[in-house]
Amino acid sequence: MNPFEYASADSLDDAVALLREKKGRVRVIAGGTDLIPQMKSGVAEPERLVDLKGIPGLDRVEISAGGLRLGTLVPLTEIASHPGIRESHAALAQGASAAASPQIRNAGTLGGNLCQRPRCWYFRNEDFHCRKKGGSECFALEGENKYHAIFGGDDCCIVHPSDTAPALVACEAEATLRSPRGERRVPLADFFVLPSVDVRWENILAKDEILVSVFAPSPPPGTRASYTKIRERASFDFALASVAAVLTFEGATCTRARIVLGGVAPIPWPCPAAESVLVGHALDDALIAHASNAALEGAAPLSKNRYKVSLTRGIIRRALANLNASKEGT
Amino acid sequence: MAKKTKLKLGFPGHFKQVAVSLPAGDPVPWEFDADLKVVGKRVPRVDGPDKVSGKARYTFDLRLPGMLHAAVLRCPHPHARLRRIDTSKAKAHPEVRAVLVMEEKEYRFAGAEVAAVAATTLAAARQALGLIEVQYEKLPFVTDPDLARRPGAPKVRTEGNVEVSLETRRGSVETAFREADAVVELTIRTPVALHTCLEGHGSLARWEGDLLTVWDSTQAVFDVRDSLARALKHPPENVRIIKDHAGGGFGSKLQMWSQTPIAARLAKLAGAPVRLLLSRHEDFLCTGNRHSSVQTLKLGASRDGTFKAISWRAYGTGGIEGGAETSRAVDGLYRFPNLEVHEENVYTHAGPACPMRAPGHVQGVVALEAAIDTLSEKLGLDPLEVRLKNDPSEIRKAELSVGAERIGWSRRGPSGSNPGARKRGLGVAGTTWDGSGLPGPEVEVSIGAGGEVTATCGTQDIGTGTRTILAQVVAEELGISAAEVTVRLGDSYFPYSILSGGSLTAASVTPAARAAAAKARASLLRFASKELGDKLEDLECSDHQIRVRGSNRSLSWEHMAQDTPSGRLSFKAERQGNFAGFEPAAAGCQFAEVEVDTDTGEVRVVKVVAVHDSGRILNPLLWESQVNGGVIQGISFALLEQRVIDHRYGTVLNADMETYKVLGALEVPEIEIIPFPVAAGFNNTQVIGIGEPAIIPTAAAVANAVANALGVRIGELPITPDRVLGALESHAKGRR
Ligand SMILES: Cc1cc2nc3c(=O)[nH]c(=O)nc-3n(C[C@H](O)[C@H](O)[C@H](O)COP(=O)(O)OP(=O)(O)OC[C@H]3O[C@@H](n4cnc5c(N)ncnc54)[C@H](O)[C@@H]3O)c2cc1C
Repeated sequence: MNPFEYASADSLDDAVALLREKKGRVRVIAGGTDLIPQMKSGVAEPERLVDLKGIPGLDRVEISAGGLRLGTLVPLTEIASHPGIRESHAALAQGASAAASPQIRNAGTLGGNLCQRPRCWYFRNEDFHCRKKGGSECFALEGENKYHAIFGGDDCCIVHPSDTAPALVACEAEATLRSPRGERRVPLADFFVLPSVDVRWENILAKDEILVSVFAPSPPPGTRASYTKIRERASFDFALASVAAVLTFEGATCTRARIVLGGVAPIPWPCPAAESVLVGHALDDALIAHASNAALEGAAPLSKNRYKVSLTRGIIRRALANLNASKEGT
Repeated sequence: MAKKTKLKLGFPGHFKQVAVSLPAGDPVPWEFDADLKVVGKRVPRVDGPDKVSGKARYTFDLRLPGMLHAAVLRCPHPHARLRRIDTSKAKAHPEVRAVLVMEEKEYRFAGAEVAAVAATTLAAARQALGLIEVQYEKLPFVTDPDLARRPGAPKVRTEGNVEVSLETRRGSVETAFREADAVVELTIRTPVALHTCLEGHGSLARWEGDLLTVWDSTQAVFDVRDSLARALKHPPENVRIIKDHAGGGFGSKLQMWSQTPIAARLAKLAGAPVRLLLSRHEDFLCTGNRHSSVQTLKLGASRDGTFKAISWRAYGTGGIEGGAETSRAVDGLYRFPNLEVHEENVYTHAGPACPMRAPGHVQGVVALEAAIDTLSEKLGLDPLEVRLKNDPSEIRKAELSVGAERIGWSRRGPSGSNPGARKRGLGVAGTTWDGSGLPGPEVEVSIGAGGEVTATCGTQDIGTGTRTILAQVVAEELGISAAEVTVRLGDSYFPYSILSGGSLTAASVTPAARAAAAKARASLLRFASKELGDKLEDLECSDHQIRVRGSNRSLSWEHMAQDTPSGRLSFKAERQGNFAGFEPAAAGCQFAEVEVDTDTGEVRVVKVVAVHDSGRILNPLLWESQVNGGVIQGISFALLEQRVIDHRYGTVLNADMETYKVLGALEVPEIEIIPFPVAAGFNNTQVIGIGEPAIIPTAAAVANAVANALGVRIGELPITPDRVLGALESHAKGRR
C-alpha cells in the first residue's frame, strides 16, 4: 500500500471540493470494507481518501408515503433489520441481509455496497493487467470464469457484486448524485454501465462525484417482493446468481413485474422479456416456466459457467412461484 | 528386562487376553475400567483462560526491543531464472538494515523466494522490496498435472515429471476380476487443498553471540532446530527453537520453511532481532498444501458382496514436491485378497505439498468408499452390509452398527429415489490410522521447594490440548488435580520430543509423563518410608504429601524437596517402544445425511454421526473438539475447498480467504459424536491419537450421501453447485 493522505469532509460541498484535486487520484471512503482491501491488493492507489462519515445526515433512513429514502451511509445491517423497510421493500431488506457477513454488514454502507468494485480474481490480482485496469485483455473470458458473466460480458466478463443493487433496480429506485457541478438524479438502472460503455468503471459517477442517497418509491398495493441468492457458502459469499422479483397483483392477475438478476452480468440485469410474459395474466406453473425461460434467452455462458443458466432459471421459477403463492387471497 | 505378561484388551463383549512384553521399568497400563480420578474427565484446557484473554502469546504477538521487520521478494513467474538483481537502492533506503539475496537462482513456482529485506518498520520493508531491481529469464512451465504427464512437457525435475511412488501386487487381479460376479470402475478427482491454519507461518530470530533463538510457528521444535542448524552450518546446541502457543498446523508446520532461515540470516546481518511473518497470501502460495489426486479404482466382488480384487491406479500433484499417494488406507479398511496398486507423483511448477491432516487417506477413502457404494448398487446390496462383510476390524464393525442406528440408516432409500427438487441422501465411510505413538520423547516431572509440580517436555501443543493431557496424566499418578501441575513445553532446550503430527503426540508423550510421574511417586514413597519408619505399603500419595494410612502422620513433598541439595526433586522418563495392541490401528466410521437441491445444485449437510475409538479417551472435552474439527474440515474439503490455478499463466487465483472458501459457521451441521472406548494396548496410557481419524471418513461419507440423494455420482471434489448441475444435465442427456 502506498502512503496516502486522509481528509475528513464535513459537508457535501467540502467533500466534492476535496475530490476535485489530485487529478482523480482521490477516493471516497465510507465503511472501508471494500476500499481498504482494494488498496492492499493494489487495485486502488489513491493519493487521498475523502471520508464521508463526518457529513451529517448521510446515514438517515426516511420513510414517507411516497417512498423510502436512504442516505449513502446507512449501514447494511440497518437496511436488513429495519421493520419499515422489510415491510415496504422486502427485496431490498433481503438483499442487504444476504450480503457479506454480519461484521461487514455492520461496517459496510449502502453507498459503498452500490459502488464497490468487482471481485473478479484477475482484476483483484496484481499480476494481471486486465482491461478493467487499462490493459488490453480480459483474462477471464478464456480462463477461470466459473464466477463470471453470462450476459453483457463481451468486453470484460465481471459480474456486479452488489446484492442491494438488483433489489433497488427492481424497486425502480432513483439515485441522487452530487458533484461540483451540482446535483443530478438518475434512475438507478441507468447508474450502472456495461463494460461496452466504460470498461474501467462500473457506474456513471464522475471522479469528483458522490452518491448521496437512493430513493425507492412506495410500491402499489398488492405488491410482493423477494430476493433469492444462491452462493457456494452461506456464511459469507458473493452470489453465483440471484434474482430480485417485485410483482404487483390485482386479484389473481399480475399487473406489474420487475425481475432483475444479480451475479450474472456486469450490471444488475433486467429481464423485460420475462416481465412481459407475466403482466396481464394469472400465474401458473406453465407461465412461470415460460417467463423463466424467457429471462435466460440470449445468455452467452463461458467455458466454465454454463451451470449459471439452469441455476438462474431455477431460482427465477422458484421466486415467482413463491410470490404467486404468497399473494393476498391465496 | 522387558516383562512378559497378558493384558485384557478389547471392548465390552470383545475382550481377549493378549500376550504383551511390557518395557522394563514402565508403569503397567491402567485397566480398561480403572477408577481414575483425573484422566478420562472433562478437564477444561489448562491454557484456555490465557487463550481467550489474549495472555497466550503466539509468534505473531511477539516483539523484542530493537526488533526489525522483514519482507520477502517473491518470483511472480512459475518458472524463471535470475538474470540480474540490483539491491543497491533497497540497501540505501534509510530504514533498511539488511538485504539478503537467496542462493537459489532458479525459481520453480510463482511465490518462490528471491530476496528479503529487514527494516525498522514493515511498511519500509515492503517499500524497499519495490526498490529491488530484478530481471528474470522466463522459462517454460507446466502447472496442470494432466499436461505435465505428456511427453515433451516442460520439465519440473531433470529426472522427468512423472515418478512411480508406489507399486504393489498381491495375488492375481486379472483372474479375480474375470471370476467376479460384478466389477465396477470409476475415477475420482480431488483438488489441491490448503491447510489454512488460523495462525500463519512466522519466525522471530535473535542472536546473542553464538546463541540463536528462534520463536517459530512450528509443530516440531527439534526438527526445526536440526534443519536450521544444517541450513546455517551452525551447531545445533547453539540453536534454540521456542513455540509456546500455536494456532493450528495440520501438517503445514512439521518442517522448516524458508521464513525461519531468512529471519535468522537477516538478524545476523543486521545485528538485531528480526521478525518475518508471512501474509495469508504468502502462506497459501509457499507453505504446503494437500496434493491433488486422480484415482481410477476397479473393484470386483462375488454376488454376496465379498471383495475379490481391487486395482488402484492413481496420480496426483504436490507441485514441486512428491508424496502424492492415496492407497495407504486400502488394507486397513477392507480385505482384498487380490490387489494391484500403481501410484505416480506428477511434478508441476506449483507450490510444494506437505503432509496435511491424514495425508493421502482423506483422498483415498473418498475414492475407495465411492467404489464400494457403486459396486453395492450394481449388486443390489445394502452398502452397509457389504462393508460389514469385508471389514477386518471388530471395532469398526461394532461402530458401524452403532452409527447406523444413530443416523437412521434404515431410512436410506435407493439412490435417486427421492421425489421433488430437494433430495435427501445417506452415506457412510470408514477410517483406519495408526496413531499408537512412537518411542523417544522424554518428560521431566519435578517437585519444587514449594511443593509445586512441573512437567517439562519439548513437545508442542498445536491447539489440541497437549498441555492439558500432560497435566492430567501427571496429576493422576501423583494424586492431585490437573490445575496443580504446571506444564512447560514447546522449547528445544527442554527434554526431547518428536514432532506433533500424525496423531502421534498424545500416544507418544503421555506414557513418558506417566512413567516420570510414577518414578516421582515411587521415590517420594521410598523417601517417606525411610524418614517415617513406616512400611511402603502403609503409605499413600495424595494432597501433596505422603501419608501413613490410618494415622495422622505424614510428610509433605515440600519438605522432601527442601531436603535435597538443589531444593528440587526431579524425575525423568523416556517413552519406550510399543507393545502389542488389540488391533493394528484405530478404527472409526462416520455417517452423513445431506440434502441436495437439484434446481440450484446446493448441497447442505444435515447431520454427521461420528463414531470413533482411540484407545483410552484422556479428556472427552478435548477429544470431542478434535472430532468436531475433523468433521468440519472434512465437510469443507468435500464441498468448498480447492486451490485454483490459471494454467495458462501458472498463477494461483485464490490465494486469499475470500476466494479460497473454508466452511463457516452456517455450514456446520449437527454433529453427533459417539466415543467408542477400547483397551487398545500399545503403551502405558493405552492412548491412540484421534486427530487424523476424525477427518478421514467425512468427505467420503458426504460424497456418498450426495450420490445416494441424486442417483448420480459427482466424480470430483469439491461438490459445488456448478458440478451438481453439470452432472445432472449430462445424466439427463445420457438418458434421453
Ligand atoms: C469478505 C467480503 C464478502 C462480501 N460479500 C458480499 C456479498 O455477498 N454481497 C454484497 O453485496 N457485498 C459483499 N461484500 C461487499 C460489501 O458489502 C461492501 O464491501 C460494503 O458494502 C462496502 O461498503 P463500505 O461502506 O465499507 O464501502 P467502502 O469500502 O468505504 O467503499 C467501497 C467503494 O465505494 C466507493 N464509495 C463508497 N461510498 C461512496 C459514495 N457515497 N459515493 C461514491 N463512491 C462511494 C469507495 O470509493 C470504494 O471504491 C463483501 C465484502 C467482503 C470484504
